[in-house]
Amino acid sequence: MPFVLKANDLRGGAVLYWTGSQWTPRLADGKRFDSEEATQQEAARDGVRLTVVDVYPVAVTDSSPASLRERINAVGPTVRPDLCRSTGA
Amino acid sequence: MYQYDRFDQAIVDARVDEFRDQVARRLSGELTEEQFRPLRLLNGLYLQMHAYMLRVAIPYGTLSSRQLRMLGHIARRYDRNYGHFTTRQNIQYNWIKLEECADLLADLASVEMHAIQTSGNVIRNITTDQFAGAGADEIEDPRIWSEILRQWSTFHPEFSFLPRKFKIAVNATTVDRAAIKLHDIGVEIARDAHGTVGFKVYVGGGMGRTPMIAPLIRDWLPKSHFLSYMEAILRVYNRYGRRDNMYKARIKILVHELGVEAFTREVEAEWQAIKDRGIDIDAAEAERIAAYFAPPPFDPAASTATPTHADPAFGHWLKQNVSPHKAPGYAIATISLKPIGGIPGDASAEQMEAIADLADSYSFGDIRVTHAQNLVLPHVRLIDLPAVWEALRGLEVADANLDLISDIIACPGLDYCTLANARSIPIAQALAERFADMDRQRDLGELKIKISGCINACGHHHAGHIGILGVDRKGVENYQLLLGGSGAEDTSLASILGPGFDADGIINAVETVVETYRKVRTDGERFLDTYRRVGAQPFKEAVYG
Repeated sequence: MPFVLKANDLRGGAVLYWTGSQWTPRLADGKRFDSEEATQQEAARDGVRLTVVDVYPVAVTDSSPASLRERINAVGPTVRPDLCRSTGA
Repeated sequence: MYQYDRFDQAIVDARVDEFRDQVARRLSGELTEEQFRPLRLLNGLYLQMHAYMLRVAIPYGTLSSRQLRMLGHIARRYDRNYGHFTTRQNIQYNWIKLEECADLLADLASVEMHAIQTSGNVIRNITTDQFAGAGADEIEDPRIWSEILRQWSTFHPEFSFLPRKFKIAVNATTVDRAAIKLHDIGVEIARDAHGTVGFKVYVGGGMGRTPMIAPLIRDWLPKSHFLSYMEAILRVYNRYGRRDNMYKARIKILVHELGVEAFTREVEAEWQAIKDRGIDIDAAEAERIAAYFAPPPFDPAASTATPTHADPAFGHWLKQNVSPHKAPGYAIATISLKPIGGIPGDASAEQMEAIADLADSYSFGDIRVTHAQNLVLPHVRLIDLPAVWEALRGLEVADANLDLISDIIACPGLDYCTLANARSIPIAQALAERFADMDRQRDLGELKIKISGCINACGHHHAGHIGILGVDRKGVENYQLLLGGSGAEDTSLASILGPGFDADGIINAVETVVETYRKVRTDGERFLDTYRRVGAQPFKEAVYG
């Protein structure tokens, strides 16, 4: 199962994904890694963590995270669809 | 209500300035996240699922209209136009930006509010009866001693790094509206045989992963030694409480492991050693604090006639959500934040501001937050109740469901909380919709459902007549059903009925339990009393076959 690198924006707290060169709110633009280890290696590269907090790998299927927790994380609270966002998929 | 003196204001203002500097240093990279995290937590700022979450302290659940209006302003200016009132009588904002947080705290400080000690291993917000100063059954206003506790515990240098967080509740009637026996310390204001007012002290209650009911460790404590006794309890806990295992660090574990008698002996010995060292306040200081909570200028000519309204819905609301007041011609009105299909405890900026206006017009500018996630207008003239109800109806907060099956406590759950394993709010919504028929709700009578999305029990599931605990079963939400809990004066812990259910199954299971109750109850018997009389078996057979 592929992984993406997920974090929260330091300044605003929003959920972000790593494209390979920058952070984006669009899960669809998140770079896919082959393994959790590769994702963590990417997270350890210089500059990746500068503007974010709580960085960790998230397992994804084709278009969304595998776990319910991360799906809610990616989209927003299921009880407030008016506040939810598109994953870009 | 209490008003900051120049010391209070200076402390809070200085804290805002300090945090502004800390945030700037974090954003510049001078502070790492590891260095900054404990600093933001000291100011109630968590990182949650979608953004930063700020927990604002509402001391003993009392708000002025000015403060509630500011909470509405903060919802609009810094969040997404709403806030969430919690089971700690606090409010949480879910979409806070770190770079705006110091400005937010400055706005809060301008109305004598803050987020200090809403996180960390410290003495948290003191909670009390939401009817304080108004309830007809009250011995004395519990906010006086809650405020004394607040002043004593705020920045107490010895208790800034306790083994674990510490929660104190104060109640002043024989009807427990503060769940005192489910707190680290529960203080019951009571009268002795001579009519003298003092305290009963319970220690070692709590929910979480190891729920316990606090035993009584002192059946009489005079007012003159209140703080020294509190200090003795905290000193014993600070000395002997476990720091090697956070799951065994609460005082309830210490009381349990030492035994009540041994723990009490330790407290009494400590108290004897410190009680004459000037910790306690004198009667004059207690009176000075009490003066802040003097009754508002009630109209002595207020009509005592029962109010009426052409709409029968008013009569239901009057019966269900209005409680007796100590002043003739007045009543206590509970504002339900549990509309059918709504999110328990959530209020929009507009609702907060409008309720603040209502408080100014009809309740001496006084509002309360309940641990059941509702609001209260504590001092409403009976004659004004129809107008208040009409206004609340316009705000969609006039549901006549206080303590009925749709008045559900629910934690934020997996929709917001990083600790949660399952969603709570959708379960509360589905249950409220399943039992939306108000005639059915009234027929069922008092029935308290409480839902937590993890074992930390912020949704008080252990104290639910019907409790629901969300867990993670191999990546799938699963809900355990518990019966028989109570956070009231008849405190009890709910027991798990059997195997858990999926999200649809738990709704059906609750309905089966409720219908079983209807079949086996006697006339006028509450759900809880029926359960206690017949036990779990009839419910188990009905639910599991």
